[in-house]
Amino acid sequence: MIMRLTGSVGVGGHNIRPDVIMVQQLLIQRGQRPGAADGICGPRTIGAIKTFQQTFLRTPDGLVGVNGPTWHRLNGAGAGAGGGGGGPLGPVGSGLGSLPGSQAPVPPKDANMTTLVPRPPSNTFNIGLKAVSNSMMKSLFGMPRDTFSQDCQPMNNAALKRNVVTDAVGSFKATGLRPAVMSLKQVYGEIASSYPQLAPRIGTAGMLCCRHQRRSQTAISNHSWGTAIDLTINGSLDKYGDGKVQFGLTLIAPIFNRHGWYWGAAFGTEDGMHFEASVDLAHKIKGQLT
Amino acid sequence: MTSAAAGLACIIGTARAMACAALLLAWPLVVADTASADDGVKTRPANCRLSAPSSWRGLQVEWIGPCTNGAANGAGVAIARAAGQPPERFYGTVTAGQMTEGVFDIPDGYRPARFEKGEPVTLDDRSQIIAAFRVAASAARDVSSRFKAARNTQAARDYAEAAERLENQMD
Repeated sequence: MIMRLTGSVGVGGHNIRPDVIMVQQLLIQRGQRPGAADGICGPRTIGAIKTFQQTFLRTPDGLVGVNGPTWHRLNGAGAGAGGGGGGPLGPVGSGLGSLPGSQAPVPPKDANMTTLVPRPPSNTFNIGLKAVSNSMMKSLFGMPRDTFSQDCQPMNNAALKRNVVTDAVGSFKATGLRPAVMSLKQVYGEIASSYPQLAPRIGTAGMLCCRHQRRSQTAISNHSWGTAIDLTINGSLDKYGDGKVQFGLTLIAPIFNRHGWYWGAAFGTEDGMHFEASVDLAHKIKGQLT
Repeated sequence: MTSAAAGLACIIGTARAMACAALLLAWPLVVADTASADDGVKTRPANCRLSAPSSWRGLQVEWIGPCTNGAANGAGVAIARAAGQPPERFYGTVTAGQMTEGVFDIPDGYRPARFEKGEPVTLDDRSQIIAAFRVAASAARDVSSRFKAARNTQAARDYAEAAERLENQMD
């Protein structure tokens, strides 16, 4: 879905309610505080627009034009949040230059996509979605294997295993339960339409991996069922638990949410790179297994 | 990591050489300058060689870790600095002056990597990524222990916390 404004928003703008809601949601995702996304363009929304504009405009005017620079920044098509950036290789060189392990040619990095922004308020994402629990996953799918350790081990539950596929999901490959991977392909398709500059920079740190949760001897990682995935942007993993998330993740999270994927940024300890099937999506996946 | 950085500055600062003598004995240290070397490697002081990846060319690179036969060798942390920019760190293992496996800690996140011909290769296999973070966490703990032995408690704590974060990254 490509996001477009039908009219300008802000000072002297048309302020059509759906447009205002869209701008408010994007402002929230970029760490601004326009208040609730209620479609009313009041002082807080205008203040948030101006604050956001201060990162790239010398004279903030509080107006988001239909095709203006503020909209492009908000919508991720321009330089994104934070303004500055650090050139194609990031601030210093970013460890990896040309991503030598990549198979396909990739476009120049957009360092702004990995600019860190505060974790968005919890009432702005995962709306209507419920995170799965270990007991629910065990009950719904069964145990993916007999024993677990801290290492990734193969799934040996035959009923689940026959549904495991490895398939290309746009710019990367994913291994997981077939319906989950198919859903990811749909998500990626929408990301590619909405954010063509971002999509090729998305990679993965893995999907299926049967192991215990970090530092646990009993709880099983949700990756064990092949219904969770960790993502990278520009080859970087968002740091676990720092309360900040990469800007690009805030752009794609709403798309994941629409397809029933729960964003790990909402966990008690923020896990911004993590997306997993919500309760509803898990049931849907279960219903599609053969 | 600010305090740890201060500790490192203490180690390499000539004005505090006397105060830091004990630390130098405790931690074989490399300051590698990749800017002016044709082969990408030049040590300063010339006592412990470390070959940094090409993306760090031109940066001042420090190594805190063991040194064998004139080359960095073992688990430790390499720190790349550029004026006006936050430092980048590599936590991991080095063999005979060549980085082998670990994690880059850069401003926008972590990059696990293994090295081929001196250059990092992006990992997309989850098992390998988990292994790289394990190696990195262990390296950070080693560095913490070295600072602790030298009674630099703040730096020891900073690196212990870095180890904790690396350990917890992958679920």
